[in-house]
Amino acid sequence: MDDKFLYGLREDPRPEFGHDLHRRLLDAPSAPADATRARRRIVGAPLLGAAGAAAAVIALVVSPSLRASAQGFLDLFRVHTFAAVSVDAARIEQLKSFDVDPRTLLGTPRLVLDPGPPRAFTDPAGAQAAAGFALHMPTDVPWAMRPDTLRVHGAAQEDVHVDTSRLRSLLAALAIDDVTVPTGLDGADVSVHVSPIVGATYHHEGAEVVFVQGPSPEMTLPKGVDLSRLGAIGLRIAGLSHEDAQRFAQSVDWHSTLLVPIPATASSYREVEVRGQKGLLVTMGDTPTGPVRGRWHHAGSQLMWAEGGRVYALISSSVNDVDLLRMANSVQ
Amino acid sequence: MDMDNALASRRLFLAAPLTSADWEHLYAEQLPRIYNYFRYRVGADDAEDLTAMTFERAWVGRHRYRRDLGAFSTWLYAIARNVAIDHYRRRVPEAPLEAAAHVAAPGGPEEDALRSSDAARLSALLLTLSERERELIALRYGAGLTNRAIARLSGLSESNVGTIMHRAVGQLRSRWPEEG
Repeated sequence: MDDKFLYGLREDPRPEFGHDLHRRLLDAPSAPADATRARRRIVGAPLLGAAGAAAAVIALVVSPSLRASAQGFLDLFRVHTFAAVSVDAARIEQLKSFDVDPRTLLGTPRLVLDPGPPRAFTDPAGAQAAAGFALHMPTDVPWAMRPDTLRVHGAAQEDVHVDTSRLRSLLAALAIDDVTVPTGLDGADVSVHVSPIVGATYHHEGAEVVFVQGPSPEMTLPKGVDLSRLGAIGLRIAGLSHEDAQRFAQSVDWHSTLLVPIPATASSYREVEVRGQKGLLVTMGDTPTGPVRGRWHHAGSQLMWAEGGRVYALISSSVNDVDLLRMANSVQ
Repeated sequence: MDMDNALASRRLFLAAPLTSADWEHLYAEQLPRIYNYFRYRVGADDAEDLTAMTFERAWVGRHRYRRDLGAFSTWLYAIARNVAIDHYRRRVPEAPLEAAAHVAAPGGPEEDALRSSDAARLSALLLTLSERERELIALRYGAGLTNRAIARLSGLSESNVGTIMHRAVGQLRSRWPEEG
């Protein structure tokens, strides 16, 4: 007997089943409207999504602006550099299984400035006027592409009345007892603010590149909050050992470093230099080997850097890293 | 492509949502794999329902998918695995080893009909495996994933996946009724 018997259950799905399901999906709402809208409103959401609550804590610490509500919030965070933190895939699955909404780990956010729907423009001048800042654009673009769409996302702000009970519960569920949540956080009123962001999309046949830019997010924290301690909590939740978390937390300038959680088994990343600044190049799967690899790629690269108070990113699954870096270095 | 949502999810520069063309391609590519994953994981009777549930969740949540965090297939299988877990929480079907023997043993007309199908035998035998073994077998032989991909999904090491798989296949082989 060979292994053929192990494939004995395989069969193609019924064509009518496949067609019916496909039609049903297309007829269904693409996403719950409220959920989509809420996601749009949450400035930290991209860092939170698939990486789960670990990213949530990190994001809440380092990515959104936590602005002073009235008085006593003095520490300011602005992105000057990016740092990658490797997140264990098993921990991500574990966090997902807890069904934790990462956005609420430090309290339920309340929207106070609605960014409204994004506005689309076909020329940089229109997008620039809407965004309220002068756009910087790459001049060295593969295939001499020009952006066919520019979308401007408005500024957003949310208030959070800090309640760390959920965070404490999560730590308990993860059996993390070597860190303590700063007591001074509870009851603090903080606000989260993101400035307008502009995304320019370039297309060439099956290839796509998105160039995103915007003023650095800002974060202000209640006076006396130990950022490195809070960061260490996020790192522990992300799966780092106590020693590694402490070492990492103490090595990072939490007032200027945006952490990028990266699944340990799914990505590679490296520091690169962009226009004299330290950038972070994250590559998923196999590195693209050519300029165009078809319509869909499991691989993809994202290049992030900050310069002059502005943060930039180039995202593509179809342009290789060398070309992404050339694009980045040509921004002016 | 819903560019509004796409760009929204790219805030802070990490997400690259699916395009419509992506989805069409992925649906065609992954439908048979997910369907067969469930055939091995829970059996043929529920495979269509759970496949549909998986794609419905993926469709609704596709804006949350982030290419920077892994391949779409990895994301989809994570959903499928959760669907399977939910299914077992609801049903908890545990089949004793005798169930497989029953399928393979001589009996009445119904048993004869089942016996005529290797698929039915294998399906019954799979129910005798542990949850984890069945999961790995489903990913390997149903979805056609490599041990490396299974390791990424399951959080096990690749060598551990290979060991468990080897043991599970050994059990199936030993219980496989000899041709007579």
